[in-house]
Amino acid sequence: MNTMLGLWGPAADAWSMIERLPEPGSDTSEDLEPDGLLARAIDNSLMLGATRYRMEALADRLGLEKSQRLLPSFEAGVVGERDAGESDWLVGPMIALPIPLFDQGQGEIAKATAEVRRIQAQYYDQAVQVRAAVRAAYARLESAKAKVTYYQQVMLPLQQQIVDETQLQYNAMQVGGFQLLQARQMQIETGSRYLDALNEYWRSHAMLTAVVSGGSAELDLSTTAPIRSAPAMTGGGH
Amino acid sequence: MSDSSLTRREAILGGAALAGSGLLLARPRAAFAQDAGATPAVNNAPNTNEPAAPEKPGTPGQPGTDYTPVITPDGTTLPWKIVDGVKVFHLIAEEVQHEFAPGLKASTWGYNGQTHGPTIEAVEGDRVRIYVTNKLDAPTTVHWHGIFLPNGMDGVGGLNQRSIRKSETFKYDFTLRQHGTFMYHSHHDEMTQMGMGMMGMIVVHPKVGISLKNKDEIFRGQQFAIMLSEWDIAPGTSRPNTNVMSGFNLLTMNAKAFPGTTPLVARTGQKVRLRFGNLSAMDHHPIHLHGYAFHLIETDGGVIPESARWPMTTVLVEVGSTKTVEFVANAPGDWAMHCHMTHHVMNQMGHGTPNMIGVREGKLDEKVRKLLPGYMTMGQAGMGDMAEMGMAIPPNSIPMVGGVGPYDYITMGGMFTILKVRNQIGDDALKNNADPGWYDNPAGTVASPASADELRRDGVRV
Repeated sequence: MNTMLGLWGPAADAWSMIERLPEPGSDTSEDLEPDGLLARAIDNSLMLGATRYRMEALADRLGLEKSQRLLPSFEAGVVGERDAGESDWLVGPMIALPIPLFDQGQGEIAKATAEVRRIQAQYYDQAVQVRAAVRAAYARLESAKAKVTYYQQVMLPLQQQIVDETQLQYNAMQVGGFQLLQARQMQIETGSRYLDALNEYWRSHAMLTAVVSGGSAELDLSTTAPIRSAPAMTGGGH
Repeated sequence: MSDSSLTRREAILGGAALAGSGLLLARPRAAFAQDAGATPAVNNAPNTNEPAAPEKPGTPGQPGTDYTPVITPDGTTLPWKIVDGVKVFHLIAEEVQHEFAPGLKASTWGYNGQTHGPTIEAVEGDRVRIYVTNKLDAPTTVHWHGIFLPNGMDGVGGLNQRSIRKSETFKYDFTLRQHGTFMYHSHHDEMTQMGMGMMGMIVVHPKVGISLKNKDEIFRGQQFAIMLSEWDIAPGTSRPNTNVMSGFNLLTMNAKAFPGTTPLVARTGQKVRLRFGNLSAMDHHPIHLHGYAFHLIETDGGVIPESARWPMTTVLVEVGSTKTVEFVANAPGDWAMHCHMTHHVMNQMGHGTPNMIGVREGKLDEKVRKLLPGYMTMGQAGMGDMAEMGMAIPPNSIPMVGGVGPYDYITMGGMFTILKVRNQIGDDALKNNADPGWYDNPAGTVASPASADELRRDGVRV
């Protein structure tokens, strides 16, 4: 874990595991409103930040180019010369003055302007990507949450009810022991699928948190494999 | 009869009419009445299609003077009034909340707030008018099973009349030309409506001057009307499933399953007449009475000549027939009476469970309880102790439950009731069929554990 987090020294000992993850959606302090998420993701995106700095730096350079455009590129210096075989240095001042007749700097300016525009376009592109990533991660989280809630509110109580009712029907000798065990087996399988749904929820949650906190927009949004696949339903009695 | 082309049937009837014409001028219909003593014609249906209206009704028969009222255990007799010499009845088809036995109720269909409907009781020769109001959502009709009547009164929906729609009231009008045990039931979407309970008994008593010679011939014993039927009500549900064709799980007498059945009460020495009808969907019922032999005296087709009756202890009541048996209640006691098909004396039995007889569960229970804390292997020694175990069962169900008896648990349900014959019993108690409680067997007349001395004396090694 420390390796994955890139931690060493005291920081490596400073974190601890949460005993049990909270119930999905139970943390009301968590701001998971889509609009806020988008703004935060744009603000926090490292990729966008980098692009913005590059754009600003280039814009600064463009300003410089413009300011130097009609000023001849003035170069002054000291030139020292010594011919071979001679021991004395000839030192004299040097002045180079371009004559702004054909080259008034238009090429440089156009290049820099285009570069600024390119980076600007790239910035917009990346912003779209970030927003898309937020929306995708958010949609995936919502879907996972809906599934978890459905399991909590419908599937798990229903399976419990099926087991309870089957027990009553067994007591009344309306069904046999095998059917009772089958009901229990179905309940266990449903519990297992509920854990898969919870797993998916927390993975989605982590992805959304990552992208909102500035992480890469190039997230792997493929469905995560469940921890264990649901056991095949048996036909029973064969 | 004046028609020149006499059919065989008319010839027989004509003959009977001629024979009785001198005596029965005032009652032309009575020529076709049954004579309990003589051999009646097999096909004794009169020409019932003559217009009924011109006929002047005879004097309606009255309870007590003309007949001893029939008792319908767990049921009632439909009240009537006389309007211009006609006995007027009113049946209301409607949904009913019915209790089959303590712990099992269901929404059924019936008449006048009862499932099954009240028993219609009348006397041979009575002119009856029966109003039928339909308060069900479904259309319905009423068929008067076994009764000779004009074709248009026969009640087969679509064939003899149009069906009675919701909120409509129809009237059925006919003269009773027979006596005996008959039935009425819906004849529209029968599978559903009869499966929901839409049926009842009809008892027509013989009348002095028609089938009886004099007042001394009026039956003065105890008589009971019992409708046999079957249902499918899954434990935990509250509506009969009328779609099933076999495996009915609730078998009833007058729509009650033991321990819900009210016992039949008689005084020692009394004549007892049991009038059975069977409108089960798919099952005949051999009804067996303990402690007695009886004679089958009538079917819904008429009286059986005395010379043709033979003693029996079990009468098979086929679907769509009635059987009337008679005996003298000369043996006091609590005598079981039940359908002899063993699955018909189980309540809400499940038929799809594995056979557990003789299974040795070993450590299975312990292991399964880790998964299912309430688990227990059951049925290794049969089902006799099922009811007494007191395990939680689905609400509104009586799976296989029997009832508490005076000595032990009675491990029967369904079509099971008790004939209680007593030496001392009041007239009112008889009339109201009031349960006298359990029979107090005289000392030394009850099966009991054998003592070591007795075993030794008789050389029985155990």
